[in-house]
Amino acid sequence: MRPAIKRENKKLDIAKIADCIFEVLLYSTCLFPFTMWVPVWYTGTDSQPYAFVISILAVLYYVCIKKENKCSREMMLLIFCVLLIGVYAITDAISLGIMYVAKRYVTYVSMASIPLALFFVMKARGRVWERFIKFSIWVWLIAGIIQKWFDSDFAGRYVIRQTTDIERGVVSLATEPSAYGYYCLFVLLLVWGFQKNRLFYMGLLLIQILAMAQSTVTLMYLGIYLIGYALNEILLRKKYAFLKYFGLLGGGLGALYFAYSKQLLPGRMYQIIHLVLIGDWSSLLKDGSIGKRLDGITDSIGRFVDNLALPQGFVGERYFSGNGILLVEGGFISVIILFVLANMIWKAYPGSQRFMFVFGFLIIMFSAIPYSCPIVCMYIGYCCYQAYIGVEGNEKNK
Amino acid sequence: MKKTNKYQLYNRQISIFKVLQFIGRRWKFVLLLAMALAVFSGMVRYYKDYRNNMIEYQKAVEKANGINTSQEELIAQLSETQYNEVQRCLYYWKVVIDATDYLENSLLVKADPYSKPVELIYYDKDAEQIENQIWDMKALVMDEEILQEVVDELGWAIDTTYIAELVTVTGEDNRICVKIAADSKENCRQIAEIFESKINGKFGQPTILETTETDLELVDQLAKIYDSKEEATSIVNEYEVSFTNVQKKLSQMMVDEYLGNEEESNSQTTEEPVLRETKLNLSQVLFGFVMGFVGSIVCIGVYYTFSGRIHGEEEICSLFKEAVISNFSISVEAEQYKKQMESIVEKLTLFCEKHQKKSIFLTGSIVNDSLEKIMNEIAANMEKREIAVTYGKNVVYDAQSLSKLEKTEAVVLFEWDEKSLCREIARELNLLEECEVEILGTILIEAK
Repeated sequence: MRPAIKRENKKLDIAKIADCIFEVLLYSTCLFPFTMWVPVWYTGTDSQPYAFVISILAVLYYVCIKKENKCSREMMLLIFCVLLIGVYAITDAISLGIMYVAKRYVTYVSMASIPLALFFVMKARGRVWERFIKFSIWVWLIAGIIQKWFDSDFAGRYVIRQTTDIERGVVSLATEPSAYGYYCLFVLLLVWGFQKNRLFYMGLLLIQILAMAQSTVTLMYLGIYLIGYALNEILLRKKYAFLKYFGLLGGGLGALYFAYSKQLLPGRMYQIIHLVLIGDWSSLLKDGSIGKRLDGITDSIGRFVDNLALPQGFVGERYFSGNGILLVEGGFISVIILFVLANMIWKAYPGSQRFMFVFGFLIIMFSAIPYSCPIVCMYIGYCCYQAYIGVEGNEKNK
Repeated sequence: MKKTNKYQLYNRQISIFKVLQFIGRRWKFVLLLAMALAVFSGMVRYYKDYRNNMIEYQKAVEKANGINTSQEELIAQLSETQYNEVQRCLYYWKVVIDATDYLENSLLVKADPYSKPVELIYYDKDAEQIENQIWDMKALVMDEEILQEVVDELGWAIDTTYIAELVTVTGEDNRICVKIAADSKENCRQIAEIFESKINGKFGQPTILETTETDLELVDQLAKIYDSKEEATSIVNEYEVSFTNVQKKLSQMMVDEYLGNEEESNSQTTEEPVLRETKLNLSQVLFGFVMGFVGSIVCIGVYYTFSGRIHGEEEICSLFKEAVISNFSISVEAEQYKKQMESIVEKLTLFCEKHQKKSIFLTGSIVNDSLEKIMNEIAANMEKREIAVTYGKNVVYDAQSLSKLEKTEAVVLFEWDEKSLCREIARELNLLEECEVEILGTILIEAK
């Protein structure tokens, strides 16, 4: 009997080690999405594909070896939608080239594989690995501090590019301040569900957004979530909803105006607010960054309507909008994908907060945040897991 | 009394393996649909090509007889999709034309930043409120009037855009740096001096430095234009290969129009009309096959996932926390059927003894004739073991069955695998709990 027991223990350990390895790899590739872990693997994109590769391996490991193959119905529907878009990928690959189409199709596969792998990993641990997320927040913060006050080129060789200048904030381990900003925002959404030191880490992330990244567009994302919060309060007819709404609106605008008048804002942010205040909309739209983003949204929605919501496939240009690209390439299939994502987020939060998170996510994803960015997929995976443990578990965590 | 539902059916978990098994069992349907769609899509494309070729031939004959076609006439011959394809192709044509034009005229290209470093001149200026001054400086160097004056003074016959892209404004510490790149030091200095005269000492006295640093932003910009040209060219080629003759002609006319060669496009030489041979479009057949294959898989998968039917005993345990007493397959041979019956009777007796029940009631969400027959057989066998067994239809909808509940001590549910609806089972269980009747467990019926 003894040798048999020994073998069993050994097997158990190997499974635990494999779980641990996949967990570390997945968390690190998702929480450091712009870092080039293997510098020779040049993809030409800001977000690196390591999380995608690891997630595929993790899914194969959990489904085929560990026989852990249960997932939510929404996740199944997401997988089916990705399969359907795959038809266009196969046919377009014949005319446009395999590599060109594969690069674009990876976005869709990542949207299913990374959340699914993270769901399995979180299920295996029984909770979200908060310590690793906290560790990553400190790493990003320290890199940001070093870049801001000591060495502006710090960590430059670990990312594909570092695009910033004196008028903008630092990039930390991202490629540009706005990427740093939206990374912090998505980690903030993960931190929202923390069991310990939630407020402290939320504060750290807000400091990174406001003082380090100094990204106007991230401030706008936060504003969208605040609007979502206000609408949520009004729709649920909560006590003093209108008071909170106007308090938030007035407080936010007042704080911005105060910072503007005292010249506390960084150059670019100052310039944009200045143009808004003097009503010079034409100059505002001429701003390369804002113009590109707005064009991305309007052009993609226009193309989606022109195509009568039919999938266009991978022929044609890429727009500067996450949801925009999805709608043009996938047509009505992407509408289902967006519905699935909204449903996952809806189920992940208690009734009193749901609207805010769904509203915020769907609106900010119309901006230039790509779905291929692993941190976005990590948030989807997190929501999937939160929905699995149920709203009761979620509320208990608070 | 307010009805309560403790079963969280919306949080159902679906097994990927079981979905694959379910799809695998329907492989004939998948293949059939894939083949059907492949044939259908190939035929539709063949018919369309044949029709277009015939129309083109007729038009070619008309043209040969001296009748010229205008753009409007060509558009009228095309379907909306075909016309949209031409429009899209034109869009990429414009990208190719614009990029070619740019690469021919840009001073930056002439500076050849790939093979030798671009010459740069720095203007270092001390400034107190540097951030706001950078914006003013940017506005000045991008000002259309100033750029035009610079071009005029240089005496070069170029667009102001090509001058604007040579100038970049950045800030470093407490300096504003205006970098000017050109193909030679002399040109750099000349442009810089003209700019300085236009700025007119507004930012203090400059320090002009020479450097051999390569301006990577400009190199990136050029690389993007090269890439976009290459990408657009390949897309145009792909479109033109798949175009019909009418589409090709319309596309050519539109491109000529964009280039300003309208007259040339109208004065083409007439050719001998030829009826093109219609070929089977294999890529369309492949598209149909793949679409049918994946589409049918997705349809079956979505049906499995969202039909709301119960998937195996594991789900009964996880969703309803009820024990599965036994499985019962109805489509088996007589001998095996008998063995199954004996096994169920034995297990039910054991359960009754364990829970000290003397009378049980058999029901289920779908009680049809075949199930009633099984229940009848079980009841007859159980009576020999001194356990009173009654049975009836779904207690939620059948009042007679509900009335029988009062006389029984416990209930055994009979549910069909892949047939019984989860919400119906939940309703049944909720009702039984409200009636305070103990549930012994479930027997899962497998149709196949």
